[in-house]
Amino acid sequence: MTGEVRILAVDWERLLRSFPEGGPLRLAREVVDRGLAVIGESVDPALAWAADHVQALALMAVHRFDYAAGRERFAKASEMEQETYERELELNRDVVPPLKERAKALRAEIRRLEEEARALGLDPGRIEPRVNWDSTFAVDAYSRPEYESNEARRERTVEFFRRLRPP
Amino acid sequence: MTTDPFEGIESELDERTVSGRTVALRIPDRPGLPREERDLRYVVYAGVFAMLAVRLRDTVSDEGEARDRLGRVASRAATLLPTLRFWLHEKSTKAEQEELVARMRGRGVAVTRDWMIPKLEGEITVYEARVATLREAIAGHGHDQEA
Repeated sequence: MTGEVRILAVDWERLLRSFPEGGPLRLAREVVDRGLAVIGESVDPALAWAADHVQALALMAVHRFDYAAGRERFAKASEMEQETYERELELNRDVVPPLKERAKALRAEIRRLEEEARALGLDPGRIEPRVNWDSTFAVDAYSRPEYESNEARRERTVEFFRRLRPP
Repeated sequence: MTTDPFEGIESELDERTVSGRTVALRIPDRPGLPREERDLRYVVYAGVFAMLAVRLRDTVSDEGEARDRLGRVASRAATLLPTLRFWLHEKSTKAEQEELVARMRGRGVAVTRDWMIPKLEGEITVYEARVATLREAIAGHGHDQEA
């Protein structure tokens, strides 16, 4: 045996209905032998009358197999794309911005307090814990990104073209 | 056997409605068999339709009638093939793009979730601690002055 090959069940079941005798293993062997006899340069004379039509059907069936068996992959790809989009959106809209805003506010507060301490004659550099600013996220200029709904984007586009329309 | 082996096949040729359920066939070792799975599938399908054609020949009165019947089925298949090829290409390309985008985005999500957010949280903890000690130092200095 050289291995396995998958075909659509509907095709195999059609063949089994037409050849109920013999069993699947024998039928599979005969399928391969007939297949080799009907393609290529030397077609079995007993099948010559059918060869062109059989080849046309086989070509179509291979494409149809790819499509029908691929449906699950096509659907899963769309699902994964949507899922990662939503996860990314959730992180970038709901999780990261509040953290960056909190960090930004605290950094500003630290600088203000350090100024105040210096004004009082204290050395902020001697107060622990110190911050190694070079290794932190520079969020001082951060501003939360604005996300629009599709509806809001549509309305804005309509409004834009309405303004362009000549009076 | 008197039943047309191709009876009702027209509806099964439609890729939009045919079931995607598959069966695995064990392939015997034969010289000349292609190695690529898709090419092997072509040989198998050629065999399936050749056997159905043989059975069709047994069910009709002459070879001409069998050829006509088989020709109608093959003609229907040939009509569907260009559209099928188009949609297969469209869907495969779209799936490849979506898989690529999902992989790239997935990496970005993992970096944000597993590195960026914990790092930001860690920095915030340090900031809060420093704000607290700075406030204490300033308040303490005020008390020292009063004393």
